[in-house]
Amino acid sequence: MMRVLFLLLLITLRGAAFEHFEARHLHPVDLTPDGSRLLAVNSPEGRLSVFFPGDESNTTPLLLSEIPVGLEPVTVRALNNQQAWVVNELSDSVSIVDLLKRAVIHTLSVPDEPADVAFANGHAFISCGRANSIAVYDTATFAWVANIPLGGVFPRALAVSPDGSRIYASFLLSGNNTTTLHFRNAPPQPAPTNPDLPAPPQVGLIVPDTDPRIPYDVIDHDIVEISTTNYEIIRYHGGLGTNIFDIAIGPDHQLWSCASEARNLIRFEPELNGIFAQSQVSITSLDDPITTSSTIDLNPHAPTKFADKGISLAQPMALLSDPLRNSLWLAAFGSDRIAEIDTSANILRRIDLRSASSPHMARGPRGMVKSPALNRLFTYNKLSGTLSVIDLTSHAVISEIAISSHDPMPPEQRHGRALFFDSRLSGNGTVSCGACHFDADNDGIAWDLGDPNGEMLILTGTNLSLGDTEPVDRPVHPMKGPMVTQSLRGIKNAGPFHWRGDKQSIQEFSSSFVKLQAGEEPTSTDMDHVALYLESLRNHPNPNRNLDNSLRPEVHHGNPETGRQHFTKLNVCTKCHEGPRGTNHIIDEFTSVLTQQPVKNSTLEHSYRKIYFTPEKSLTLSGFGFTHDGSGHDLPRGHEYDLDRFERIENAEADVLAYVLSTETDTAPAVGSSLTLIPGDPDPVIFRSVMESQAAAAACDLVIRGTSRSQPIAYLYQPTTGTYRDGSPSSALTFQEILESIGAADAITLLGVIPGAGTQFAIDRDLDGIPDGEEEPPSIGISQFPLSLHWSAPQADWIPEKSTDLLNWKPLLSPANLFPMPIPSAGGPYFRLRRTW
Amino acid sequence: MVKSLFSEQTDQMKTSHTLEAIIAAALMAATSNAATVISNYDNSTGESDPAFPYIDKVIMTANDTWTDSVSVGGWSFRDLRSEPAPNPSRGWGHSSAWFLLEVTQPAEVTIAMLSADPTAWAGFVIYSGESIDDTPDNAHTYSNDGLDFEALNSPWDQNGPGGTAGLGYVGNGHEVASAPGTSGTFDLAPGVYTIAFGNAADSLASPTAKTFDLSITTVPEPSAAMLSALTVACFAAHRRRA
Repeated sequence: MMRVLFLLLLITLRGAAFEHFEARHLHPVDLTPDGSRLLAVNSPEGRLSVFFPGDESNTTPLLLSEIPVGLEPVTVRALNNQQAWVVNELSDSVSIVDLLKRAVIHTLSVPDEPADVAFANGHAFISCGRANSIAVYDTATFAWVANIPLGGVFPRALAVSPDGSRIYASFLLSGNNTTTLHFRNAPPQPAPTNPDLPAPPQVGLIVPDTDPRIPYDVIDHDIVEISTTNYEIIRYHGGLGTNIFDIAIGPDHQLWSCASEARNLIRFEPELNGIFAQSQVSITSLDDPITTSSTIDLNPHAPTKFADKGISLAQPMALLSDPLRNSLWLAAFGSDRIAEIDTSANILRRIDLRSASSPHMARGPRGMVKSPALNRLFTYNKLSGTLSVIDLTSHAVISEIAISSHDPMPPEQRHGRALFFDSRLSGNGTVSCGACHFDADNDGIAWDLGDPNGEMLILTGTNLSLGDTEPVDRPVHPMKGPMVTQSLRGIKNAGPFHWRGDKQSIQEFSSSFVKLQAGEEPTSTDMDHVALYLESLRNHPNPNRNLDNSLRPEVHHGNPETGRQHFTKLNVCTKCHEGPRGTNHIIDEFTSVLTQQPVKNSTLEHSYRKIYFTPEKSLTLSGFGFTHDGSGHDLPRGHEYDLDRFERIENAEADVLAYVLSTETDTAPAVGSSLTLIPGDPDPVIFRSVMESQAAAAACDLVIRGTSRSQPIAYLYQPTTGTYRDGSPSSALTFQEILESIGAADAITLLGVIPGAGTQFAIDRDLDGIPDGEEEPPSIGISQFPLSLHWSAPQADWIPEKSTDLLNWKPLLSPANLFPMPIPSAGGPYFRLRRTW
Repeated sequence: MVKSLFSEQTDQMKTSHTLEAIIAAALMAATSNAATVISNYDNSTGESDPAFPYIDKVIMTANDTWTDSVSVGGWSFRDLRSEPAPNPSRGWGHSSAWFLLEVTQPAEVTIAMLSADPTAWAGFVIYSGESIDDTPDNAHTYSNDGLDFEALNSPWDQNGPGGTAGLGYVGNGHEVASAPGTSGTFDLAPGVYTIAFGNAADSLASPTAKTFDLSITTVPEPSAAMLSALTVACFAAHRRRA
């Protein structure tokens, strides 16, 4: 009966789409200092893959183990040959992995959306993007040391100076000094070129902050330089790009950065078509106290929308210094190319990652590491979920292997994702949808994608805020003016799309491939796959809410609960911004929401990410705020009319703002939350009870992963019984029983995962209907003629190992290891198959 | 002197002399008493019962003065949009400023509003009664002149206690041509009254919010005062005869 129920559950799960958070990989691959282990994050499954990197005889890395970590790992750095630190973007944690034990031994809880970790002076520096800070921990004791608040938006990549005295952090959403001139102050739009169009609406205008009509300065902090001894900020570097992807100290001991420069001062979609973003690298002198930088366009051959895309390098998202070659390697995520650059930024060579097998499969290189001993470069390919191995003598891709033994992403979603990020589909090979929607998120700026030669659209809305429920026509003009780039996370069931609601489905965006990327329009099947991909993306939880999803006592100097009462009780805000995500999705009466054209009642779930536009001050960290064109608002108000009642109640505006900044997303805070326990640790009653109650409320699934007597274990919490089960349907253990079962060398981690995903995380990884513990293991044997080791149905997650004492096992790298075949004796040799996870 | 030609005159409404009324209000302030004000008046009964968006409740005897200053939406009392034509009798509840007035004695009540912004176009409406309920599915407009039954009565005629009629139109103050101030005087019986203050503008022009100085003054209703005087005179004559 239990088996039948389990199969029914699996049938249900298989029917559900795979969902994830589109990890923003930063440094997803690394080598241990001795070069013996190659480490790569497996983001969809929350694991760290450990490989034998290969040798002279073996060009393909061998997957040795897949160690459970937190959710959406994006960075791994080996502290030493035994310990790796894995940064989990969704879990807001760092998993400290013992590579010998193949287990997490400690989990650091860090501020929101960590991205990278760097080691200096015995400390680990962890960039925390959404928290705009760097957290410092002691690498020996794991104790928290300091938190360094930063004056920039979304710090991510880290680099350490050669002498270890300074650390550098780059800001992904640093901006480019542009902002939106309020529509009241902007000149009228030019006349449409389509004679059938009526006069365009009065809209804002994107301008540099040097425009005399702009009373504030937009700060452009691209990289911050920090002392590793006293954590003081030494200086900020600017002018390096709109969105800084990665940084590295080059072999010339200068600070290198790779970035995208937005050309958002160019107005209208036809003018921006194919050329809206410039991929570039910059070199910043670290010797000159007055910082000097030089910037190099990676695609000077593509000034127009059509060019030789066979040499384009789009979206440079990773840099790697190669002192032995006195050069740097650059990963062009959108182009599937690796480029070698000399210290004068000349491109020495391009290596096409699609040149090997599967030439049509997008790779998406996102990280690199070099093995000097092997003279090989390993690239982490996000879109294909593979590692490519490049021989640095021949400069050829010599092998490619999957990052994990199991790929949970359906092929249709993977195909849709490839279309979304593939710059080779553009006219000149330099742009894609992902050129603004980095990792399906946003770039933090506004664009004017109006089309003077476009056509009017008639949308349907209602004047619900006036009390009318009858549908009314909403004519919208193609010259729409500046619009802030929206995140595509959580887009499922969020239509109509765009700020104006002018796209009824994701499939309607197919014209963007032609009108904005100068490419060809995808087929309807392709767009269906793009839609499947985008609908699989979830938002991160709102960091301003408690673990149990309740409101916090204070957020930004306000009380969210008091704010919620103001927000809902007067029935003014909730008229349009109802529901947990803060919108009713209606194209409502628009005349008081800072616009002269229809806009959809916008969601509030991303408001907490848009707090850096402060036009009332002389300096603002961002040039764009939370309204559709990013201009002229005063949080929490996005409307022309004042809400006098809020002014008359003490702290009401701050309270309402606190509530708005606490708006629920489609993911509860329990998802990703984790805690690691070792023998002797007390039962974390409070944390566990909250997590169990969240699981009972279907806000998350709760799993336990770790080791028991050095063997991998996994359990899924069963809310109906209050117990935990493993692969055996009849198992039912209490938490205390599990905690007491682990040995001195073990550790277990409690982890909240997406509701419905717990089965895949803990019971049946491949969702084939057979619990992991009941899978038929492959058999192993030795054939005499010819003498060889063989096993049934070779699988990627079973590796042969060899031992002479039945205690210490080493991977058997190839059949050649069997020769000469030793005479069997009491000392073996012995062979076995071990599952990698 | 500007006459309120836009207004639907009622028996209760007596005059609409903007500047005179405001001056009178100022003069009265010197001799009258201050009204009693319940700030941030909340008439909800609980978490699930949204409050009507009254700002304050103002309690006045027959010789009181109340002043305040509010910001209202650029279009709130009336939408001047010409195309597509909106309903000129409809005000927008969200962007108007609402007060509950309780008159404890029969009084002649003068309501006035004035903005320093010369582009403002003032307007207010007074209803008898208190709006108790305002659920999310209900309309958020109001009848600014008593002519648009739907705007007034859907649903605000059913939001009194127990679903009874809540509000009844009494009168308004609004000038026929753009004017930053307006006023109106009404003979009011003891009871509660709902007042909405707003501004008239073309919604398509995205008008900015307007700030108005408000005043309400009460004086004894002449008939009541006359009756009182007559009573005093009768008592005096009776005493003389005695």
